[in-house]
Amino acid sequence: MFGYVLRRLLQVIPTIVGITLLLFIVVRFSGDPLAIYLGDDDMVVGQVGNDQIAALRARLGLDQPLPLQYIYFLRDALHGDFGRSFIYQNQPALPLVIRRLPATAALGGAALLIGILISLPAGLIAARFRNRFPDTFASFYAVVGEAVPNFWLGIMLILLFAVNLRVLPVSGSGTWRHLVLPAFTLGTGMSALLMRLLRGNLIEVMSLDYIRTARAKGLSARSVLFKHGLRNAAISYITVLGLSVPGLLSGSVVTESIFAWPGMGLLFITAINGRDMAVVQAIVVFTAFLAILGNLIVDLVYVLVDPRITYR
Amino acid sequence: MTHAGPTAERAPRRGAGLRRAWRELLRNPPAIFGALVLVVFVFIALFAPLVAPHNPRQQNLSDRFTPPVWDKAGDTRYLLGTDQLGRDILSRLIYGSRVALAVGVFGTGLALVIGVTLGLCAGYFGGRVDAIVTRVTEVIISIPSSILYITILGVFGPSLWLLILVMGLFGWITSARVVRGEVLSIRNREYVEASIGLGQRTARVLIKHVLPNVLGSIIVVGTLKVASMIILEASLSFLGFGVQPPAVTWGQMLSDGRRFITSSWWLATLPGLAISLLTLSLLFLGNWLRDNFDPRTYD
Amino acid sequence: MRRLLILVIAVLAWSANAQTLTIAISEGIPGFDPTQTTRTVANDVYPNIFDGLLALDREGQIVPSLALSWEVVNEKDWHLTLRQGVKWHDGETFDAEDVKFTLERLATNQDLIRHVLMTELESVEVVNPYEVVLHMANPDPLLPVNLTMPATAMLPAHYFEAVGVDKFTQAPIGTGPYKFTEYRPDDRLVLTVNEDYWAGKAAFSELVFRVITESTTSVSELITGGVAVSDIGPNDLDRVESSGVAHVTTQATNRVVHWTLNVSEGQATADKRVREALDLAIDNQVFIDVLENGYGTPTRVRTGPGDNFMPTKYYGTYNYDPDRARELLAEAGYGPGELTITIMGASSVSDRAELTAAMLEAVGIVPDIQLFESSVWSSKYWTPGEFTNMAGVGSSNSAMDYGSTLSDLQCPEGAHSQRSHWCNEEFSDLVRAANRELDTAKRAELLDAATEILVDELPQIYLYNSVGFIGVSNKLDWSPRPDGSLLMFDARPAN
Repeated sequence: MFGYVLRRLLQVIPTIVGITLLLFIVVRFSGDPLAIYLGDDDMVVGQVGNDQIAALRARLGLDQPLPLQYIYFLRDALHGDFGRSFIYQNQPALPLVIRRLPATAALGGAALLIGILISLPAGLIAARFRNRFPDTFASFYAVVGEAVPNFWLGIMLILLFAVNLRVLPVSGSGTWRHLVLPAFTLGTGMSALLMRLLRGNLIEVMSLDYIRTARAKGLSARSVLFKHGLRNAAISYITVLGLSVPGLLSGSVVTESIFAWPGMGLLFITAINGRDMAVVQAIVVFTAFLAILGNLIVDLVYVLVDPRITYR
Repeated sequence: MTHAGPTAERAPRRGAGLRRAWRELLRNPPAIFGALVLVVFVFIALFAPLVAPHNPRQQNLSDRFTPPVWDKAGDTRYLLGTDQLGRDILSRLIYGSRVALAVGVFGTGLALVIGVTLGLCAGYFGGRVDAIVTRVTEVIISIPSSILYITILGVFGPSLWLLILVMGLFGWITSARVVRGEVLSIRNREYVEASIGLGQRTARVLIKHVLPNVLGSIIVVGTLKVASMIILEASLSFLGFGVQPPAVTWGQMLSDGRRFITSSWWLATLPGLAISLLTLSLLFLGNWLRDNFDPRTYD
Repeated sequence: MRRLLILVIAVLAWSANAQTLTIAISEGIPGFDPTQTTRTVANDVYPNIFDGLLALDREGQIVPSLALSWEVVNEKDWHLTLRQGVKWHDGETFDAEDVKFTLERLATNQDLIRHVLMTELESVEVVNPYEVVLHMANPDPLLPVNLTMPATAMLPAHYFEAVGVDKFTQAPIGTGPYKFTEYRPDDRLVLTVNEDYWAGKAAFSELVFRVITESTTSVSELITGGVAVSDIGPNDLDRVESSGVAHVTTQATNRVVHWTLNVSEGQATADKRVREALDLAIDNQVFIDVLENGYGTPTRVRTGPGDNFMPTKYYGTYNYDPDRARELLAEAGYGPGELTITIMGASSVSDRAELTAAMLEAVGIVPDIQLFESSVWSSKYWTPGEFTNMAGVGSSNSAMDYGSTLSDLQCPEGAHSQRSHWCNEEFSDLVRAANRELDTAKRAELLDAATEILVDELPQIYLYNSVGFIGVSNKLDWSPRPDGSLLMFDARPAN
């Protein structure tokens, strides 16, 4: 087991190299950072001279051949230096990313919690009352949660709770009250998928022989559901949960922008739109680490949940 | 407890299953609803030019922001109202359904083919195969999809088919991971081990014994994937990376309409409802499919 | 009853924070070195912290700020007298050494994106602590206006020396009405009033700039009293006006929305008759009515009324004559349906592109719209030769000077000239001469002559000069400034 974990951790290195290489190519081919940096102020673009462009290119390292740029990047990254942002006035990239972590973690954690708190009971109830009203209702909820885009839900929640009822703040961060609406917006979509999976798997598990045996032995439906069903349905549930973690870190741009939540998503989109290589790389490497860690944890949890799974 | 049972009994159940499924469908109002809605959507998508009352790009600048017909200010020429350029919302929704179905069906199809294959292999063979699949999975989930979309659509130019291709190529992770997890827990069950012991070919074991057991999860993941692909297109439109005008998509209508959400609600809400309706019908059908074609859920 | 309660709560909330003024801004601030960004929002916020040598007043006139007077000694040298008794936020005194440091840094350091403002500066001569002479390489009529811009604001030489530029960009000091307190990236910037400001103490003890990227959200904040000032889109005007909490103010800008045409060989738009036909096919007023809720002014020149030397003759007018357009197309050899024109741009211009397409269709042109994600589009557009026929652009000029605007169309070095491949020697010489001409009347003549060529040649089709909308709380006495700056020195609570 320990050997397995160690091996998995060592495998992180080629993965990260693969990610950065792919990213490097992808970002460089998708637009000229300098063209985007100059913006649309005629004052600047009209008068910036070719020699200044050359100087800026040199400062950003854009004048080097592409493979060389990548090698320099790797060399510095090994020392924990992801380079300096050119959008953010030459600030080192990694601290820029790390500063966003608390806000991101707060929102992501709360959304995850809401996702679990909704999906777990909803999935159980739907499975228990299969094809009856609670199930149909839960399906309906899952559809709404899945099909309603975050931005629409977010705007509607603001209009209802913040503008009309005035019980919660419109946007911003700082207190738990600021967290409610964005976490709910982000958590709803997640809970829908989780709920659906849980329901499906529970129904599946409930029809397995040994569960039927357990029921035949006189155990109540509820205790079978909790004792055996839940444990067996946990695999897919945990998988999807693990998969959503990296998405929560960098992928909540839409929710963050609607609720003016100062998380990593906003930083990421700014960096991408400006082709700010250093920041993009730092974010991606950072979230990749977490994603891989999450994946590993999920694999280990499998063993806890289902003793039949073994790793060599 | 013998495990020969379920495998041995499966073949004769298939034919009966179809008839039973049909009976089930008639007894299952949500499924009927789902089937009907889906048929309607497919019909209007296929015959959009015949069904749509207007050209979806036709501007009528004097009729901008006409509300739907049930509103006092509505106009019978525009049943679902018009948008900021006076274009007919109904016609745009009808044409948008083409993109939605194309993205949902083809994108999901591609994603499922890749995901299920890789998931089965990774879970079944384990070892090196599993390690490689896991590595690729990690690389893909670690690179935020927005950056992939910007680049690929930016370099090759925006196009619907490219978007579908990219969505499929990068959308298989969930299904692969779910299938892999399930296979891991199934492969050690006695009947699978028994089949291997009996010397059956690997592919046969995979398709005959392992695949049916993960079908339930695949259907759930797949039906939801169709919905999430449509939503993904909408979110990409929100960020500006989606299918670009003049092509009409629900996602684009939705994200475009949000600028008017407080003054003209129908611009963003109606495409949102269209997405919900299509998704709901897919889910109901998915439930029914799962209940009737997954061998393990027979009562 | 509930309304009353809300009102009471709102009033209480307001009075509890009577000293704090909260303003919504649409994007984060990359850092606090004003020479290192081109972002509009950052430049709008900086004047609260930093003062320039000169400033623009609410009428757009250049007025003294840290410099009391400025005059040309001979053609190339400018003599400036500085204000005495001005303190930096750390208590040190502002003097000529700071001027020398700030301007020479800009002039010599090409890494600074705003280097373009001081390329003509050769040196700053310190006559005494309160008098300097700026030695320019050429006569530079744009110098005074350049000295009003946030990017040339005075920076503290002693503080830079002590902490270095990296520290400065994150904890700046200036001489402005507010002191930097804290910046939480993409969340909020907090400024505290400068008690010793040379022009007196500002009314609010604290300024908070909140970063709210989504406009429906900032409008929701505005109408619930969460922020007192916010940009608003043309579709939210009614929502703000009917809230009873805030009102809409309009702000003139020099932003002109236009199409740039690719005139290089092989393009249909290389033919001047085709360009003219496009211009005649387009009904400028429609864009204003449909896209801007009726606000804006059609124009045939790329500048707004706030700018110096705007050719008034072509402002407020436009050519629209579809019949003549069809004739010109026929002359150029294109029958109905025979000419395809590609319309390119960022996805944000989709409505404009669709409107234009419909107008082109009406004169028998086949339009082909190709839109791109905005950052993909910027790099596509700025790479010479990467667009076909028509490119959607909207641009403004922070120098607020028409001569500065036209310089990007002069060839070979002008950026727009490189993109559109339009190169007119006569035009370029006129603009170049104008930007070396200190005599106002002569300069106006040169620029007018250049405009005539532009209007005739049509390398760009100008649509309209747009208006900005800013929502202001009814409890705040402040109105937008013509340069778009969010300087809050003169903001007061309303009563």
